[in-house]
Amino acid sequence: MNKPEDNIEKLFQSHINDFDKMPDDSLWADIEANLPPVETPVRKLWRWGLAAALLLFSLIGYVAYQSLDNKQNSDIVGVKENTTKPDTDAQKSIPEKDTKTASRANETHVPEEQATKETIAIRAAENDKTALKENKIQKDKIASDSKSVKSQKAGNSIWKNPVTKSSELIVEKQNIVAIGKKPITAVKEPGKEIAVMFTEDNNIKANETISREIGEANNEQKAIANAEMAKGFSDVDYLNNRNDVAAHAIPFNTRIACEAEVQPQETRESFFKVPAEVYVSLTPSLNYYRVFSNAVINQFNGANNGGRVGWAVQAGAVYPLKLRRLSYRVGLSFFSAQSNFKYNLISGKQVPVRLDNNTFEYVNLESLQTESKKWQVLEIQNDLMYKVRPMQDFILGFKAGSSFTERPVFDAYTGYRFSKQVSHRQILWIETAYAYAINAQKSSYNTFSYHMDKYSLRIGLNFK
Amino acid sequence: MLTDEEVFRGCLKNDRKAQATFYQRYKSRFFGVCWRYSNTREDAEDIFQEALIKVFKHIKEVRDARDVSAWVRRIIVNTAINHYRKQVVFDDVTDDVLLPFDTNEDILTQLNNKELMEVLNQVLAELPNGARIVFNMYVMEGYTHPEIAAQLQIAEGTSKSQLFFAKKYIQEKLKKRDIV
Repeated sequence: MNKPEDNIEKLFQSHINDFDKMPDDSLWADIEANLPPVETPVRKLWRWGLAAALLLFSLIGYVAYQSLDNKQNSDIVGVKENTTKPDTDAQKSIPEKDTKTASRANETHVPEEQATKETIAIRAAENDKTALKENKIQKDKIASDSKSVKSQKAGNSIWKNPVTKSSELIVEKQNIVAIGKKPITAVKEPGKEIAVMFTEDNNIKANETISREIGEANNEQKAIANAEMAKGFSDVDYLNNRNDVAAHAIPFNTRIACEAEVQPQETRESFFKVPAEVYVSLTPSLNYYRVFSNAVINQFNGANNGGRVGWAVQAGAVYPLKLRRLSYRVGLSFFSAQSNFKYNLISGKQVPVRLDNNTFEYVNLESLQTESKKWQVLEIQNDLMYKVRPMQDFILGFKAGSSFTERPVFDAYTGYRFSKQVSHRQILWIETAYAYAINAQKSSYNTFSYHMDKYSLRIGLNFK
Repeated sequence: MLTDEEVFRGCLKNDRKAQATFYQRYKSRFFGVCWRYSNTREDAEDIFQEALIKVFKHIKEVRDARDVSAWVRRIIVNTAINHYRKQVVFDDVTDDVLLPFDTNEDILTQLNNKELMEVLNQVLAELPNGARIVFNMYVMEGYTHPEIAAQLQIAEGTSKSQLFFAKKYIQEKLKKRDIV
């Protein structure tokens, strides 16, 4: 006889395939509702769209900042160097047409005996001190050479006045631009700068001519300054050919100054800008839900079991734009929250309810539903900050992020920041903010969609 | 009609149609497994639902379509264990000697298969949770006592005594129904 336990085992094992049972028909719907969402082409597009939007927005922010910054850099006015190296053959060959401008310049500014060789560095007002130093160095060097050059007369020289003060800058500029065929009476045209040229019978190598001249400058500091100036100039179209030079009675191989277009795209600056400030912040928030699809649910409550509370941590950088007190703030934000929805789902099915012996009323079936979601969203935040008062900023921004499990998150953002300097490098700030989710999220069962309102209080620290 | 291999491939791609086909094709078998581990229909449905969601979310862990069935059974067993983990108390069962047990073939043949399975299911459901889980794991799934002990975080001796108790209990119940 077999052991009794063996017989029981055999009894069950012999019927192992007969234990099949049919589950309730409604189970599949419940399972399906909890499965990961199907990756439809539209959904895939959303992800790509989000990635593209993040990239685009960051790029726009960077380019906008770069363009503004380049404009600020171009405030350096220019460098004028005037050296007479008359090419007598060339001078002879140039007919003297329209010599009024050059003559006027000579009459007004250039005593011939002093115009042998002069270097003038003109800078913006904030660079005047540097310009003065550079000029002094230049002059010292030039003075040592002046005897040997003195014998060369400067009847073809154009500039002589050493201009070292910003107050004199305008006068000098007017003289400079008067040489060109597009004279400007007041100030230089936007986007143009004063360039140092070397009159040579070569249209194509205008910029190279400048470089060659730099090599002859015999001064390291000056050479650097000239190189910096030369990189941005392009359109030197009105004093770079024989006719123009002749028209202004300027001999070849003469240094002149003229106005030229600036090419901002030519820059040696590194791609990544060093921000003025970096920041870290912590943000508790209260979340509210605007629910749509009210036809199928009622008594919605999104604040169950702490469903309103969220928090975020951010880190980023601030770039001052120097444009009407504006700064650009960009950062990464990690947002986490738990939403616990509780609502009555009204089905389309109606059931009779007996009111009295003869009266029935049909009512919709309702069922209490709950839904929990854990939000973990990684966002890029781009803000424009407007300095309303010292240490107070108004902020308008945009956040785009991915929750990895839900739809992409796009928030419009506004806030007001109060700051306090706590040390010479650190600023503590507090920012009251409101963010509105632009795009709607769907519930797990697709019974409703909702937008989020987030009220937050950011506490952060900036490091200069 | 989709082959098992096609259904499996579709499930790997999170294709809803393939998942629905998989469910329809295997629901009775897998729900039956859940039923054996449960003492109520509601529990069986909870385990089934939770296990199937896990299956579809993690099916990429399976490399071959032929391994799916065994893998799903393991998922179900683990889900059932977790479901009852807090409720299971592995009491110190008695060491009573088993009664002599012999299958009463006459009665078994009188019962049709459906009726027999009703009885066996009912007897299983009446078992205490711990004994039922150990019995199912050992007898139906083929786990060894060390494996059961590790899975349930109990001593091997506890696993053996629970199995012994389960068999004794089933034997008595079947005897009452004149099946043994």
